[in-house]
Amino acid sequence: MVDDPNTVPSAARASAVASAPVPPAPAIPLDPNPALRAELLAALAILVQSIRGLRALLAGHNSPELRTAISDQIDSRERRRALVQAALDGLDAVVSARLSLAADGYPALDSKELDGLLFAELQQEQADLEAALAVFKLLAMATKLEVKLGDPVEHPAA
Amino acid sequence: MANLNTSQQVPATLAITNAAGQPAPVDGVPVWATSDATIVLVTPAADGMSAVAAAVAPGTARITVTADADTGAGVTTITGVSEDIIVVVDPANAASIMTLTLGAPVPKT
Repeated sequence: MVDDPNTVPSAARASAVASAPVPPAPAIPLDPNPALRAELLAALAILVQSIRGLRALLAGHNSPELRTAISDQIDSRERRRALVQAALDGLDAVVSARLSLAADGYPALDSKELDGLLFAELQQEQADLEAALAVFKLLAMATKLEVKLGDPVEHPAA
Repeated sequence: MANLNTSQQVPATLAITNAAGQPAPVDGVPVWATSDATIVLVTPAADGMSAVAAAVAPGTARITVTADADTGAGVTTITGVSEDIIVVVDPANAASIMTLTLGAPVPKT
C-alpha cells in the first residue's frame, strides 16, 4: 500500500515524514509538479510535528495566558496545514485525472465502425452539405487600389 | 503625371478591384494621405472613396490611399499611390514684368 504513491493520501505521507527521517517520497507518475509536491510535503511535515508538540504543551500545567498563546499557535498552524493539504489534494486530483485519461487511451481516439447502411447515410448527408455549400461563393478579395486623378479646376476660393 | 498651378485642385477617385479585375469592396473607410502637405493638401470624402487634392505651393507630391481588403475579421492592407502631382506657380500670380530703375547721375569717384 505504502509503495503505491497514487493511493496514499498526502497527509499520511506527511505524518510518516514527521515522525521519523525518511527518504524522499518516490516520484509519482504523471505528477504535474514534483518539485512543488516535495516542497509542500516538507512544509506539511514541519507543521504536523509542531502541532503535535504544541498539543503536548497544551496538555501540561500552564497558566491560562500561556494556554491561550499555545492554542493560538495551534490554530494558526492547523489553518496553514489545511491550506497546504488543499494544494496537495489539488496535485493528487491532477494525477488522478491524468491516470484516468491514460486509462481511457488518451490522447488516441478510436474511430467508430459503422455498417454499410449507416455509413451510406452519412455519405449522403456529406453530399447534401457539399451541394448546399456550392450554392455560395467566397467573395473575391480586393487586390488592387488605384488612385485616379481628374481634370484640374480652380480652387473654389480662387 | 498631373500638372496643377497653385490656384487649382483636382478630384481623385478610387478604383478597387479583385484579381479578376472586378470591383471589390473593402472593409471600413480608405485612408488618404499626401506625401507633402506643403505642396498638395488632400481632403477625402466621408466614405473615403474620393477626395480633392488642392495645390498649395510649387513642387511635386503624391497621394497615397490605404484600405483593408479583408471584409472579414482579418486585416489585409492594400495601397494605391497616385501619379506625381506637379504644382507650379499660377501664371496669373507669376512675375511677368521686371522694371529696372536708374537713379540720378553722380560724379565718378
